[in-house]
Amino acid sequence: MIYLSIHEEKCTGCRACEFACSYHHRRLFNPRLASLHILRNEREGTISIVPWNNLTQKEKEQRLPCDGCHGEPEPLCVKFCFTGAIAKKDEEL
Amino acid sequence: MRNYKVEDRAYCFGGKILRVDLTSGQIWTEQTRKYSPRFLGGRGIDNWILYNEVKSWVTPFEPANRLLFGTGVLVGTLALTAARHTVDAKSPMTGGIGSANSCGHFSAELKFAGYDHIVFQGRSRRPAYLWIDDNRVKLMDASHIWGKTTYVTDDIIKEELADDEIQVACIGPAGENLVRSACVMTNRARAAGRCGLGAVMGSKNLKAVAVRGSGSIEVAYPERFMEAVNKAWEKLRASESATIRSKWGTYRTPSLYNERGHLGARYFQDDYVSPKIIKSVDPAIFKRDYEVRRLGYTCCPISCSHFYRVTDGPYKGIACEGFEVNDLLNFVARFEIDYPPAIIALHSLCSEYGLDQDNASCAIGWAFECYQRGIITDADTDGLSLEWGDHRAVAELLRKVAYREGLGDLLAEGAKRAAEVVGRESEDFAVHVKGQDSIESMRGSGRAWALGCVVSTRGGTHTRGANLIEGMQVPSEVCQKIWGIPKLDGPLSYENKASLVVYYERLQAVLDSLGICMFCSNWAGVELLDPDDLAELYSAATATEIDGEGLMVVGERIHNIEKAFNVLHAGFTRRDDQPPKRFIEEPIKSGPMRGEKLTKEGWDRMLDEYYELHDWDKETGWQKRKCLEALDLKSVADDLEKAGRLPQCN
Repeated sequence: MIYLSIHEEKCTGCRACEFACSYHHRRLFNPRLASLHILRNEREGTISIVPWNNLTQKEKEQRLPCDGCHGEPEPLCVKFCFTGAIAKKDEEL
Repeated sequence: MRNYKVEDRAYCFGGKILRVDLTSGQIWTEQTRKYSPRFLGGRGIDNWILYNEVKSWVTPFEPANRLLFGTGVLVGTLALTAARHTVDAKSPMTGGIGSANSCGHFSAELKFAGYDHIVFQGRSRRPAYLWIDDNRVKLMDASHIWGKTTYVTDDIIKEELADDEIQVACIGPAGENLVRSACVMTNRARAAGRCGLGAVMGSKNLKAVAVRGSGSIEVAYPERFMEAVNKAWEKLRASESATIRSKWGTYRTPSLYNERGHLGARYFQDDYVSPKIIKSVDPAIFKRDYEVRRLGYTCCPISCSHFYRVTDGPYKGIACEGFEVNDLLNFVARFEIDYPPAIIALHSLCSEYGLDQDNASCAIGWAFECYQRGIITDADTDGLSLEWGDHRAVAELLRKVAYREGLGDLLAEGAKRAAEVVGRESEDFAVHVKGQDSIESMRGSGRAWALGCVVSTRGGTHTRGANLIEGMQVPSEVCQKIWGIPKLDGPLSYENKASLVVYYERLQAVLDSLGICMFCSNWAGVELLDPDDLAELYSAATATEIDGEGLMVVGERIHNIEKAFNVLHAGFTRRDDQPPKRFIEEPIKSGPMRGEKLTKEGWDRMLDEYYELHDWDKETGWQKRKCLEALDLKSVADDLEKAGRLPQCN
């Protein structure tokens, strides 16, 4: 588990973080397994970044829990966020 | 999560092609591996199926035409910009190949559902949409959404399927009404435009495809693949062109476009727009007053799209994604519209109606010029004054085109067909390539640009061999290495341009088949991904080893299938590879490129070289048997021979 610094206004909704997260967990690509969820509202042009802690219980059951990218040199959702919408906070749990 | 057996599907593929007969309602699947790696995926496989299954005498709106959706091979992975899908059919615009490429989240979703392609045939008796929920696929009644705009269609389908994250590809009223400039929309803003593919969808009574996919995509060598992804990311991060495109989108340097003669003012009467107008639509104004945020699709770090909102004035309340450089050509230059909110509104209207703004605005531009010349009058326009700069008139005509009302019914056919009806020399200034309207001006904008647009298999458009590289400063050793030419001679020279065009035709076929965006390839800058980079991503993902050169051979194969389709179906010859008359006969009237135009002699020389590089016959423009056999396309050579369209010069 890591603390993420979220800047939704910078998010483009490309979902690379979800793809990268599923790669960390299973070495395959499936955004529905990711420990975070990107929600796009295309009517309003808004995007929500929902990290593991803020997911609903139901979503947590369907997805894989965030392990802070254990074993990776850096959290992959941070590495593959091209705009800085997801950054790592210094403190860790 | 849906489990699957890896042996059922090749690495990096959904594994199946979904077949839907809309006449009988029958749905079945076949294996993608039947067609790949020979045609890679996406556009390559789509057009091979189209080539083999649609007979030359079938017309575009007949049930026997096919409508195909294809995902690129690398879609569904972290390969950067792998967000592209392709839509293909026999084109209502040219009678030849109809092929459109778009980004969005639709492509990856389809792949996660286990399908690389969808092939529609037949015609549904009632309006229908296809609902793909992983391996549960069914045709749904669409009577209640027939007639609705794409925005409303997207809303209704998501609501009735109770999932806001479903991906929907749909048509609007334009597609339903068989408007030849209708497109297929995804994510409310992304258009598979040109070629009238939305109208083919409408002719099949198919309103939409909705998909939810929960499966996974596995690559063959994960670590190697991620290494290639990281390398690509480093290249993009270091690229100035990618960085600028990220910040500004595709619309960033209107004055440069203007000075270089890219902007066909008043429907190509000139290629220079008043600097005052250009100033009033400066990109900084859109950024400051209307831009809400940047947007991007599946794993795209460039994110060239933006969301806009108009908060005051007559267009208050309009909120949409979009506004591309095309809007500069289509609305600012073509009609001299200088009011930013109007341009955002016109873009949004096209998205809602499911109109390809390029084709639709060209036909309307032609009507404006007819009006200026007195060829049509208020009596023909239902009293609408077609005065340059009047955005309300353009908006009203877009509506009339989408619903085929009044003059719109004629303009829905495109400028070429409309001019054939109206006559009175209006054919002389209708700008089209092979029957499809062209947004690209070709007098001062560069010879490779012009050649690439004109010889494009899909009839005009700059997304085949056209490129802007010719205007860049590239060291001679790099020119030699990439394109095999000694140097770039500047945009207005005819030298070595054919080599550039052939190179990018091959590359574009590869990109469209892998599902990668041209903006991250060396089409946009020599520092970006080259065929070797793409080959490494492809090899690591699929375990099919190939190098850049090998990929480009496949690109040439795909391009040749489309060429053969055009020769067989539309009978195109060298004569159809000539630029619009206007660009040879009427020089640019003002601005820095004043006096510039294409010359017949220069064009023919460039065209000869182009055919030679493809090993096609110079006299007819047709493919030679030995060229096709070298590409493992003997059956295509046989087909052409049977049709009497194989040149006698092998």
